[in-house]
Amino acid sequence: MRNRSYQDITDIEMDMLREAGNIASGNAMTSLSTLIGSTLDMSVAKVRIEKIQGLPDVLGNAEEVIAGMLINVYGDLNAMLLLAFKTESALAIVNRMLGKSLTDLNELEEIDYSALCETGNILAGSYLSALNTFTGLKLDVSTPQMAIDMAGAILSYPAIEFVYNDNSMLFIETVFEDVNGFLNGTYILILDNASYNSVIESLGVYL
Amino acid sequence: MREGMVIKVGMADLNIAMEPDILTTLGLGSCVGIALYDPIIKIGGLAHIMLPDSTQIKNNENKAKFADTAMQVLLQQMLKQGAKKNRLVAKIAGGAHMFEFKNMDDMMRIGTRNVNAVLQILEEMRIPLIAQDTGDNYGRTIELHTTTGMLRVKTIGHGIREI
Repeated sequence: MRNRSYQDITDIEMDMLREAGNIASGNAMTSLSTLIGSTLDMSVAKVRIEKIQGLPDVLGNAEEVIAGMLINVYGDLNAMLLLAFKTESALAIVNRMLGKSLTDLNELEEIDYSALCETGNILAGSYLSALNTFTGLKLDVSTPQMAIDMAGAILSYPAIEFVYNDNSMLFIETVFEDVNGFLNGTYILILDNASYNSVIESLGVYL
Repeated sequence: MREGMVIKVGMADLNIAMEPDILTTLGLGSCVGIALYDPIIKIGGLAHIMLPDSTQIKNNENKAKFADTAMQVLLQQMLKQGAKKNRLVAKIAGGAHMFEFKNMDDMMRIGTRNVNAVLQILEEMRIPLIAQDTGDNYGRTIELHTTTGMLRVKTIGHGIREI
């Protein structure tokens, strides 16, 4: 597999990575709309290349509490998918699905936690299955794991995995929001050097 | 005396400060925060390391990323400002397991490996470790107060500690 530095990615290749992100999260949005019975808006996917020092802050403030769902992706890619919900959104999902009125993540009980995990599971699953269909790449995935904690601490997990040889991390980000503003979440697909090239090459046949 | 400034240390980053300033690093997960302190001249150093060992890396551009090279650089910077090695004490925090993926025993986990690497380096450098708040499964924000050498550890739902 080719190994090259992030500065060498061309504009067309950036577009291809963005499009992979759009297709994958677009598919997941359909699942989420069905699940919560509400229409969702999705931002255009962004390809971000961030230096290590600032990685704890890529979702906003490093100390802000988020619910983060993480999946390891193997097979043709070496990647991680992180689905992050802000505190209010995580509570909104639980409240809507279980008819509760929780106001604090410390109040989450086992069943609330399960509902949140399951939502993340479905969303991450549909993202990755669309990515698989679009690119034709074979993707094996781990069981998703959830953590509710500081954004920086959650981001440290993928950061450690992906900056061993590099001093920057590349990821495709999509932000989505429900039209009533009650739900807001972010997908981050982190790809290592060989993997973003694999995505580009898999889409190259269409050009 | 002037008001202390708060100096932020990023991920894979390090810095030093003199009394009355405060060094902080936010949202440590599996990474480890290493705080060194010379109580006589009240100088502190803080490193936020991500990985235990740089020896397998061909081109180590970021010394603060690895426990071994970060400790060397931090020590050099402090000695240059007048700290004495035999007066230094260390406190560490972090090294959590943020996600419980299966098929991984404790010794394989990056948080544990980071903590163990730091402990070993401190021993080799003969810098006494006087406090630690490591492991478990939650994130930590830390602040090193250079006036007293106190390390404040803040968490979400697991309290605030001063070590």
